[in-house]
Amino acid sequence: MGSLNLSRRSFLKTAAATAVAANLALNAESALAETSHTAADGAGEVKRIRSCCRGCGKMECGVWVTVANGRAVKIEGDETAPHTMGSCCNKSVSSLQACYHPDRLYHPMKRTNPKGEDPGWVRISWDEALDIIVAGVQQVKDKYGGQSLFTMGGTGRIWSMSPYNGYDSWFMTPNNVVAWQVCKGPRHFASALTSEFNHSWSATVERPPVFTIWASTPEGSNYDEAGRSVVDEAMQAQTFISVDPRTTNLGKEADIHLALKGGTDTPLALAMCHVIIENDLVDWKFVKRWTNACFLVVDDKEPSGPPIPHTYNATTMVKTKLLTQADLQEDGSPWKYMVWDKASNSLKWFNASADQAKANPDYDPATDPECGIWEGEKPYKRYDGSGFEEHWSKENFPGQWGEANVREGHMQAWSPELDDFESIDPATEGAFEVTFADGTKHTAIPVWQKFAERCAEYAPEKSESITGVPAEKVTEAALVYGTRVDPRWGNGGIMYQLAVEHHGNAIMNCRAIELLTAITGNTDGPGGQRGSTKIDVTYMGSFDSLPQSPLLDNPKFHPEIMEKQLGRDTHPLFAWWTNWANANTVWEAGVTGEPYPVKGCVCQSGDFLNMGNTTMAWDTLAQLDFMFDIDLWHHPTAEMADVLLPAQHWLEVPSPRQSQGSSGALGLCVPCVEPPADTRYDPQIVEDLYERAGLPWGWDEDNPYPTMEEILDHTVRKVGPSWKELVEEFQENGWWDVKKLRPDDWGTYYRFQTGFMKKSMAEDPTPSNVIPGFNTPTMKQEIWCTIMETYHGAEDALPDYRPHPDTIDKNPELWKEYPVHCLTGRRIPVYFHSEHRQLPWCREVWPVPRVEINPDDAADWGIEQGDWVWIESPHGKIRQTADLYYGIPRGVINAEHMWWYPEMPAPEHGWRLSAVNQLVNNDIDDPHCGASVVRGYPVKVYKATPENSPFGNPCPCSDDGVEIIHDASDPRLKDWAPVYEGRDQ
Amino acid sequence: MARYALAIDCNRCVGCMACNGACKMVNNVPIGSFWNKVLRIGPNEPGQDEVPSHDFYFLPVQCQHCENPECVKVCPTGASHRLPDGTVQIDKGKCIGCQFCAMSCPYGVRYLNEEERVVEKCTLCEQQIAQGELPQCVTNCVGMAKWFGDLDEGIESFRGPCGETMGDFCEPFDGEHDVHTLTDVGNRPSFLYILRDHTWQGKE
Ligand code: SF4
Ligand code: SF4
Ligand code: SF4
Repeated sequence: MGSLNLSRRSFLKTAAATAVAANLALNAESALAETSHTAADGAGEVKRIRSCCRGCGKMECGVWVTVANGRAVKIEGDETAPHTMGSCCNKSVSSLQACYHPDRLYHPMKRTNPKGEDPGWVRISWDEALDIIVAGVQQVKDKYGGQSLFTMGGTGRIWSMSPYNGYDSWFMTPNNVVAWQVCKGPRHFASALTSEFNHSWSATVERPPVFTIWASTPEGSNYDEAGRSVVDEAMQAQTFISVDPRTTNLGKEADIHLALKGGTDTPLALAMCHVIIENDLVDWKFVKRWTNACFLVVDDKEPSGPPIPHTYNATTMVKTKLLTQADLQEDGSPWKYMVWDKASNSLKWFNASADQAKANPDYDPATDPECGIWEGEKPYKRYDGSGFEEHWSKENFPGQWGEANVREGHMQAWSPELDDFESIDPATEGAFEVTFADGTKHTAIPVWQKFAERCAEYAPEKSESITGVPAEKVTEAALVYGTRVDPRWGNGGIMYQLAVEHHGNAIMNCRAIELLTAITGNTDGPGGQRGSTKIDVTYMGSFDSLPQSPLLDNPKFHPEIMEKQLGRDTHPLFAWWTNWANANTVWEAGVTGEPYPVKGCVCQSGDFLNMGNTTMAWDTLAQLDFMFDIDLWHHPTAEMADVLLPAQHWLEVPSPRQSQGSSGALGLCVPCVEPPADTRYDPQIVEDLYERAGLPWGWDEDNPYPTMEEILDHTVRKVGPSWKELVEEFQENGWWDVKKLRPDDWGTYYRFQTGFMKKSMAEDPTPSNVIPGFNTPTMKQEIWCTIMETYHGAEDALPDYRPHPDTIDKNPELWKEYPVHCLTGRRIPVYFHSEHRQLPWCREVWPVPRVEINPDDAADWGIEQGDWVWIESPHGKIRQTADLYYGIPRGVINAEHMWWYPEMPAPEHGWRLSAVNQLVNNDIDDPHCGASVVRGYPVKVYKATPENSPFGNPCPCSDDGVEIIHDASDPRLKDWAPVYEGRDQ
Repeated sequence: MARYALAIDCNRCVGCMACNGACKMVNNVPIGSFWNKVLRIGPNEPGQDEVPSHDFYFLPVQCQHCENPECVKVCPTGASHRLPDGTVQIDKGKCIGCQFCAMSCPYGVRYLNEEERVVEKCTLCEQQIAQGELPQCVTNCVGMAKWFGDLDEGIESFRGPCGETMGDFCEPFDGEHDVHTLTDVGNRPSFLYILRDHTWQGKE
């Protein structure tokens, strides 16, 4: 066996090798690129290269990659990476099998058979591939218009994010179908409504004293935080609270487990808020000054707002029932929101005029003396423009260093004292008579009072019947969460993750949880809800921060294009959000041709299995005139393409890697091995496509097609002289602490007070953009959500429980035939969504999908451990194997998501056998953000038998009766062992 | 002389299976065979108070490097042997693939390498510990559940991936009630398993 691992067998021969490797960190120079940005070359050498893993799409785990003779042979955690503590999961080490997988795409390919059959791929040149693609896209555009194109994006490779931007000026389509819509996107959507885009992330890395994991299993998925850090936090926290319908792997260690019914997150969060309010655990200093709690709602006011729009991705003319000065006097300002001052028994205002800055070029907050202040109170501390060098916040805001329980290598952040009001005392409750400019009298009620009433509707005893969580438990958890361990700051944020997004009430759930963290004073506090690590370095190929040409057009600049975005008519908030088309609506259009046909597509790390109804999604792909896919593999989505372009693996590519969440680290993905054959790096592929389409790409008009080295230098220009030098520094010193790099921004808490919260990631700080508050219309963290109110009315301005139409309460008939509550989508530690099913080290330990069933239910249903069972909904049926587990309640099952079987023949590769979203009702989704209902729907479950299974075989089979791989001993797994030869061809 | 072993903090094990791939990466274990596995033990009873059961744990299992190993006793050629460092190893030059050892091991951690016709199992990464490094499944253990050390030096001295020691790093445990071994049928397994607040399902 030709293994190059440092195996026991070759131990004696290579005894010196690891000793050599151990020295490499000191000898960084030798690990560096001779040619361009490749670190690995040189035959016979053993090198240890510091890099950043991308075995999943969710975390920036620091790793050491050992490269022997130019081949990656070992991946271990970088123990000096403070945010991950050297965590390195099975997906990471299995990257060695992905990188050298015999089924990897090495060359561009085109199909020779019609869709629906084995594509009959034949190798073509890049030239030919690019020509076919540009022509194919153009044909669809000419025939049906740009809107008939759509993009599919996921997160498997972080440098593959062009679909999120809809391939802008090339496609000019408003229709991007991105996995973000069902994972993280709703959290970002909700926090953008309420406080700041991205503020769903909490700083677990700072080890808050109370650790709450709400609806997730980060210990296995590494979502937002490495598994090792998550376990570490759960162990050292004084109280570990798990909020989950089932017992998770780490949740078995929880001090408190709130086992809610799936999808009842809003009532539970509001119940906890109620306990916080009743026990006076509210952080009033924060709530009164930095939320819109004291703003006044006038129920019978005709909603109105300022004449200049609020600008997010698009512009919104805000219409609110919140009382403004403009309601009260003819010349009153519509940006002045009124509160009732108890000190003077009169109305006072808060001036949110800075909200117009983005839309009104004539307005500069820096020169408006009333901007961002409360009537009668002193103006905020104006930023002096000192830049990133000085710690301006520390010089100007009295406070102290934080005392987060951070691991070695992390520094503390500056924790400014929160200002008190000097003279006014805004009321949080009461009813106040106000007289409008037209002389009419109205009653004005503080937002807080309405919020407290809403919470009271869901008091623990009242919501118990909805959530299934005993009232005492809710109270206990809320008291622990809300009672400060250290009086100076809150007990930490909440790590809430994707399951709250999947029950058709995503935005309400996210908002309710966010408010729970806010009223307890955890907004941007130590271990709190801090949002994305703010450092002005962008991911390669990401979102809107690409080094793109200013000459590029964008559909977002064209309202007439955006109006056609699929799903916009049924989801009014899309007009504000703009970032995605509604997946369910796209599948609907694909199948029906209504409201217009969708006929062309690019897929770049996207997938048709992740949301909406999978069968409809497949049928959509099957009827396309033209599709291309940029990929590492042949998987079902790829098999529906006309052209395949071969991408590169994370072990082969350069990219900056800053924490997408609150982990506060900056590192690099450093190429370790030469990329094989004809593969290209995703950002390079996109640039090549733009060039072939005759569109400019680079940021510099005189150099429209920059080299990758130029792009890398440009991307990191704010943190280092060049990519090459950063790589050297990284090899030597390891991960950067962003608190140190950006002391005023990431290195300071409570940035809503210093003014650095509103400033966007990419901007340099100036007196015009360092303004206290949040990027909401009221400049406050909005308990009363004015954007929501504008699009959905005052009924949705506060969080409320909205069960989806297929829940048992709404559709009891349906549950008579389908009596089992189906949860899905828990993360499997060795897989990343649909990825890694063809990697032997992953598949052999998790060969088949398992559905968790309570053993008492299983006994009733005649199902035993390991049996194949049918799971059936009105929309489809699938098979998975039973895992009898007392960690799941009765009447509930938990199936796995996104299964396909690479060993099954093209084009379907067995997705019909087990892919769970075949059970999904494509007609229902979250009315606000459109996230499809991929959990919490009714099914029936019964044993698969020879009688009820094709081929008389309960085990799923291909069309000719060949079983899937269901056992580690299956010899087909060995066919997937790494192949090192032929990479240069 | 030493008694090398692992101590496994089961409360920290989250069943992520990073240890599987880690082992395979450095030990050239054939696809389909395993030197280590992670088993979910329980839960055997329904949960209480409207909360699903928490009474289970994950059990990483591999060769326990027994002090009185049955596998060594039954080996007809002396291929299986116990080293002065306390580890049990297989001299592949002497192994005839009779698999008596595999049948005698109470934990089923040995298997026949079909290609080479010799028996294999966890070596405690002897190639790494000989150089002062940790076994790979300790280095890569996500939960920091696995710790390596010399039983003669005491469990507190066992080392973790970032230079920590178990005594300094792990949650306190009760030496009498919380420390277990896999069921001992006279083979005296060396590995220690720590489990707090959950029901240990093995016989001592
Ligand atoms: S665990 Fe089994 S193989 Fe290992 S030493 Fe003990 S008896 Fe031998
Ligand atoms: S100690 Fe080494 S050989 Fe044994 S299971 Fe762990 S990684 Fe594998
Ligand atoms: S790597 Fe560690 S935490 Fe993960 S399964 Fe193995 S022993 Fe448990």
